[in-house]
Amino acid sequence: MSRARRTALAVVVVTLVLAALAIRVGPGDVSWADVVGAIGRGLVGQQRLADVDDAQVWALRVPRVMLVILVGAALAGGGAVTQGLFRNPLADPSVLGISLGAAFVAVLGLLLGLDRAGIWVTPVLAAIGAAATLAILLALATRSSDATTLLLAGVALGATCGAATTCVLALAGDRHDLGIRVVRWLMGSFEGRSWGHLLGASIPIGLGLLLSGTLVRDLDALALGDDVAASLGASPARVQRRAVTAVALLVGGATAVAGVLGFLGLVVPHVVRWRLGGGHRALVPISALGGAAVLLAVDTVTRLGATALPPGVITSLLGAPAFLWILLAQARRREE
Amino acid sequence: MAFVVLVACGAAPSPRTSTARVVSQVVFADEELWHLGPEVRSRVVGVSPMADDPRYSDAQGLWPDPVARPAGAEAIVALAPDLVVTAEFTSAETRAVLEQIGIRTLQLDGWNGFDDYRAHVTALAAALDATDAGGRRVAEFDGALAAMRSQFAGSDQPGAVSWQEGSVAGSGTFFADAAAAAGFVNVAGQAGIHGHRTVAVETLVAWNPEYIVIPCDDDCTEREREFAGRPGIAATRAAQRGGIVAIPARHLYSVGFGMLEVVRQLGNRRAEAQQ
Amino acid sequence: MTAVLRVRECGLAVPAAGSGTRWLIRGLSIDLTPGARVAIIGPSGAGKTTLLRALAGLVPPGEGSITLDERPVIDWDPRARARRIGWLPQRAEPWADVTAAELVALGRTPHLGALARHDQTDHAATRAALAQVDAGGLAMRRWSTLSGGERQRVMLARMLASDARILLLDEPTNALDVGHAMRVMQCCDRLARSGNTVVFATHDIQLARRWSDRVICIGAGSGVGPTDEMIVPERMAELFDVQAHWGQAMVFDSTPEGD
Repeated sequence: MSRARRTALAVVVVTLVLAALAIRVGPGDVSWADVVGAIGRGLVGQQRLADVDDAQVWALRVPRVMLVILVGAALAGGGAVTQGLFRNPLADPSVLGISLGAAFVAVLGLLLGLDRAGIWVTPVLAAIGAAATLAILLALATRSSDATTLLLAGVALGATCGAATTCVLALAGDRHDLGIRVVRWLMGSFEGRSWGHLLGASIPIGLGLLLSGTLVRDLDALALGDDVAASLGASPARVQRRAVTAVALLVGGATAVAGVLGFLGLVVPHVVRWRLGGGHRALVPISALGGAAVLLAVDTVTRLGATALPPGVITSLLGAPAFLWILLAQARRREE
Repeated sequence: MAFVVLVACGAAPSPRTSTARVVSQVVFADEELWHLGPEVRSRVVGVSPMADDPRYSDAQGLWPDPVARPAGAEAIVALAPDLVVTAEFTSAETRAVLEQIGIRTLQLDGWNGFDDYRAHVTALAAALDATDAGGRRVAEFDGALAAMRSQFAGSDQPGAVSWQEGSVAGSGTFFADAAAAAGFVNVAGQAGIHGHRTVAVETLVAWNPEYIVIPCDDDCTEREREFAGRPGIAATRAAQRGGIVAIPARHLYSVGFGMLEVVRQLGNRRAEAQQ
Repeated sequence: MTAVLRVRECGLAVPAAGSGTRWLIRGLSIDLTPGARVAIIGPSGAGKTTLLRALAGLVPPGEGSITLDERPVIDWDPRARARRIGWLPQRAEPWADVTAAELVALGRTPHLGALARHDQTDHAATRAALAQVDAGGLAMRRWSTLSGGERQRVMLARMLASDARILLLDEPTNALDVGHAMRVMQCCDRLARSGNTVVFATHDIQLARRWSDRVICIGAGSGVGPTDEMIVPERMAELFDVQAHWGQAMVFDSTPEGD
């Protein structure tokens, strides 16, 4: 078995163990028997509607764990694709401006009070924002196939959307409840997410992961530059359009259901590339698996605290120093 | 827990001459200054910009147009007040400017329960040299409260949680006092939470309270219905037995007479359920 | 002999300052056949790289035609074309620190499915390509640990791994010392003898004279012809704006135990 396969298998095992623990632990008095019973009843559509243990397991924890796995995979997988596309290990999937575009439309919805119609409104609005940002990026990519132009366009789009979001908040400065809701959404959270969110997110994220899978050969070809990629039969312009679409599906889907989560898409692919090399055939799927495991661990830890901490804060709080440490370790190794 | 800080800046306060022009920057004071009577009202030259916002204020439409709604230090100073009512959430810059200029301020701090209401009204009345009016106002509050206490007294004591997008009110909060007055147990306080804290939906579901109190604007029935259907929440006793209670935010987060409205609505819902 | 890559009345232009274009090359015709060893020489900026890119089908010619098996090379399906034409750019660096084997395996890209799964054929071709440039021992070394000469050989292997029979090399000996340069050229020579078409651009006139049969000159004294007729003092003087004459030059060869 190759090193990549061994790693993948280990990460899958870790993720499954974490998932089982995540469903078992938390507030309330839920035993393993309750967990098994609730999942069994849920699978055959017989969950007890008025039973809080069943509700904890089947309505909250199981879909949440699956959603965390999906979002972690989306962000880290999207990060691997973004870094491959821009040939830059410091590229984060947010550089395309997708998450900020999603955030802007979602915040606009919060300002107008649209979210009161139901918990599905904000995710749908965020998805619309992500799709609109993607449309603008693709229109730009058709005009110029230069990756730097695309990168700068993404940064500019993100800055515009970020400023527009701040502007909306400033205009509604007298509404402190709005400020709280916006900040809470921007911090990223899996609180109260359930099957609806999972189903909604699985479509774009599933498509994004599939598309990323078909991109690995062409991302490899891009490793030596646009001209070499073209001489190897991979049209850079086409790869770029497909990669941007994949990242938008992944990040847009993740942001829509969980808000903005930082650093995962930057650190996880970086670590995987450091340990397993730069071949995207291993990098993209193992980054996705690793992102799922890391986010699940972070989310489970935040659930154990008495105060509900947003996981996005933890990913950034732990991710940034971890990233710094990795960079220093790599620098040390190069010097040796 | 109740404490009031009366900050007197600049010249030593001499109430009889220095409270002719009052500016309020706190919704609580906007409401209470009005209810301290016509004589006090006539000395108010400015109320807070949120005074007319139905989402936060019970004083909307009360203050006539000639009374200004100053926002920011410059606008306040322009009114040449000799007393400005502030709170810890008034911007630090504004407070610093007022202090520098030497305008007397009354800073109302501590918002932890009914005792703070009484203390703040008393302090406000004292600062305006209207101690009698303050006393009457507090007595009115206590009278209404006592009436409801006896009306809603009961042995069953169901549990209630105040929930705003994850934030719950524990012990030492206005909600704790309101819930107790209406004959409820404040579940978050019982769980050891003091003050306001953010908890997970899972925690709320695990508490499984009989009543969950949420804020609404003018769509309270719709909010109750939507909230009762949320994942996890739907299984709680509150959702199953009509115990989701949406109360307009201006009452629910009021620190004035609006609190009595919370007691009344909570108590009535329990009385309805008992029938 | 059958022509494989046929260049007919080809012109290549670049956008000039202001409006309009500046022609780098006009009226170039040549048949690039199996076994051919063709050098492209000319002053810097004359269009050597542009010509190689046009031959590789990366840019269309401004006029005339470049055909591969009677079809314009630019119209070929990129992956099918990549299986026929290998291209070694002047400078290319992987952005991530990959191993030599991983880099060489990139040459297999035109043969892979979308999921980039390498089968036994691909592994064998990768190993064979490394062996061909005498770099089998470098397979597991990371790019950052390789010397300039080793990198160039790995890049050459990357081009060979695609099994393409038309090889376009842009300055393959650039930045290499005389020994490494010679070994790279010996490798090209072997490839040509085994039926590949080798076209290389170079600044080194001695190198071009020694390792090519035909020369394409680009610049003031442009033209195509056998190496002996093209690399003569008169034409070099015109091409590079220098005085040129025959003299003595040191000649390098492999050591007996080498190669």
